[in-house]
Amino acid sequence: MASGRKHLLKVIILGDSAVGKTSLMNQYVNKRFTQQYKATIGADFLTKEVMIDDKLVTLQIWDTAGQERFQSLGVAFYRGADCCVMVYDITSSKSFDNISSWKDEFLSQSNPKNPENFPFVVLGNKLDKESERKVPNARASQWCRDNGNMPFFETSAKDAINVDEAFQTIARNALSQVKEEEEYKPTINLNGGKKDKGQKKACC
Amino acid sequence: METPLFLRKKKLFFVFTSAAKPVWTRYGSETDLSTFIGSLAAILYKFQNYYTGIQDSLRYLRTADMYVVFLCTEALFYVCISKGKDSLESLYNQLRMLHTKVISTLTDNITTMLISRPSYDARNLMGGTHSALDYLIRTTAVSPSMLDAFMPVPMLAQHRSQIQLSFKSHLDDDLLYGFIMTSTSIIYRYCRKGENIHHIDTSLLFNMLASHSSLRSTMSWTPICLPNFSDKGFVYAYITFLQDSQVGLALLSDNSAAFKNLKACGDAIETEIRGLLPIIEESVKSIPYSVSICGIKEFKHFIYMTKAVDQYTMSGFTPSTRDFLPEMPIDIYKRTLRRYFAAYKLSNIPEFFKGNYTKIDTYKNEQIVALRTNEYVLFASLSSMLPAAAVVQLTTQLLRWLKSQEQDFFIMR
Repeated sequence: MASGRKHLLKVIILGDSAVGKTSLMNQYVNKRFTQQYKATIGADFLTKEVMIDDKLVTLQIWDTAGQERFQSLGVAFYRGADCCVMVYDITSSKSFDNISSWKDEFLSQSNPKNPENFPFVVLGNKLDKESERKVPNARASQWCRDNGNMPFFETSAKDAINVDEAFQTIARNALSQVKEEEEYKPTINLNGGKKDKGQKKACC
Repeated sequence: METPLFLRKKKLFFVFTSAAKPVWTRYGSETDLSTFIGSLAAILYKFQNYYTGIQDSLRYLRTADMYVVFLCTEALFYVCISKGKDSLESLYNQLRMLHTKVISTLTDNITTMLISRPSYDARNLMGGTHSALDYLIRTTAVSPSMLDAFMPVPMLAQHRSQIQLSFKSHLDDDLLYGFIMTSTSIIYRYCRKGENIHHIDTSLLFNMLASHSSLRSTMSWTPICLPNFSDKGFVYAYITFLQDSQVGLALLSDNSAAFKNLKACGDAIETEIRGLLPIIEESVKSIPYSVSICGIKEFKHFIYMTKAVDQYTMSGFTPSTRDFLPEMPIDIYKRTLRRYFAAYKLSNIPEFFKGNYTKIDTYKNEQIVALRTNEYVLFASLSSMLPAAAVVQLTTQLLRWLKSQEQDFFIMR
């Protein structure tokens, strides 16, 4: 047994199809990029360990499919997420416009304890295609400020720009959600008045 | 694609939360497995989603060479991947026992906690339990779990009642349950008047004692949740071993402040049973016993259970230690057990069981008899050469003998 608490954080990546969710994750975890586009079917999973201050944190990254036909999985996939990363493509206005519906969808489906403080991170990807940019940096920054000061990065999965930085922030924000000493206090004393016979559960 | 090392194991177990956060895994580290567990959860979600509104969930997947078995509780998911020959029923039993063990460690508050905070990382709470969970898997794999019973060591009834007497003369109001046991066997069990003790709770206490060697080296006062008594909180166990012996005394109370009382009670019992130590140790060494003690040479193996005391006894093999006699090598035992499971299966269906059930299955190398009534269950293996009439007659003979031995085989009330 390693000493100290181990942390595993569930990170969900959302966004329209073909904005580069899988590429970002691959660049971050495997340091690889491919031009080839392969649609994600349902969801992909990758794990990465990072150090946040002196804590070793395992990120369990859920890369979801952007296509609408896979979105029925929502509720279950989002359950118990510690951080939600929303990705758009800086060369597609529509993908940026959809960010707010992704946010609403996530909040309504995952139903987190305090939605105002739930850690979101917004990533504008494909910074390498600056010449085709449709979404000005200022517009996206403004939106993030208006939506509870979400951290915002413009990234390039292809050129590995800002990818590590973005995920470092993601991990840090997700970790901040996990309260320092998570209180787990099972009842200590059963005796005290007559105990209720716990109805036969668990077995059979 | 290369297969990760852990996936090459024959039998894998995973426990994770409904958010797909790993809680426990038999092999590999939870961290390395977190993507794999994510995929398992995604498969479950997909089915849940497909059958929305129906109170049902995915139970198992079968491929050419493996079973993937799922047990979904309110907040925790259990999965077993088996490439062995185990029956579906026995894999389910193992998953259920695993869940019971998790509840026994954390109490059912973990369910409440995970429902209100699905992102909760419960893995840290399971620290230090790996050996106990692994031990549980190894013993349940060879247990006749369909019987809902545990196996005590055989001992002359007069000796067992002497132990009983020493308990009865030193009772304390705080004493809920009491046990005389070694790390391999249960010798005596006491239960407070008006309470019941469930065989699963008995197994859980036994599992704790057997898998934590530290409990054997010193006197302990330790919490344990016995879910069939109450899954809401802990009871407390005072555990001590008699000097220079393998024999231990466990006294349990539902009062967390009862240590002093139980210790005094334990000291008194200890003094009294010290004289019985050689007899106790002798009886512990008597298992596994040969099938020949029944005096009917046609039998190769038997298991007998009486409902009145939720205990069973078997020849040739001891599930808690996996010790076996040459007459019942472990592989043969496992095969026979599978055949018992198969013969017993139909008796769980009301159309087949109306207070009486008999099944005789003939295989190339043995005949399996399964008998079930409201009072007892008997499994036996005989030579395949015998005609049916002989099988029936011999089984009746065996049954008569077993009934006459019940007092010694079991811990009677």
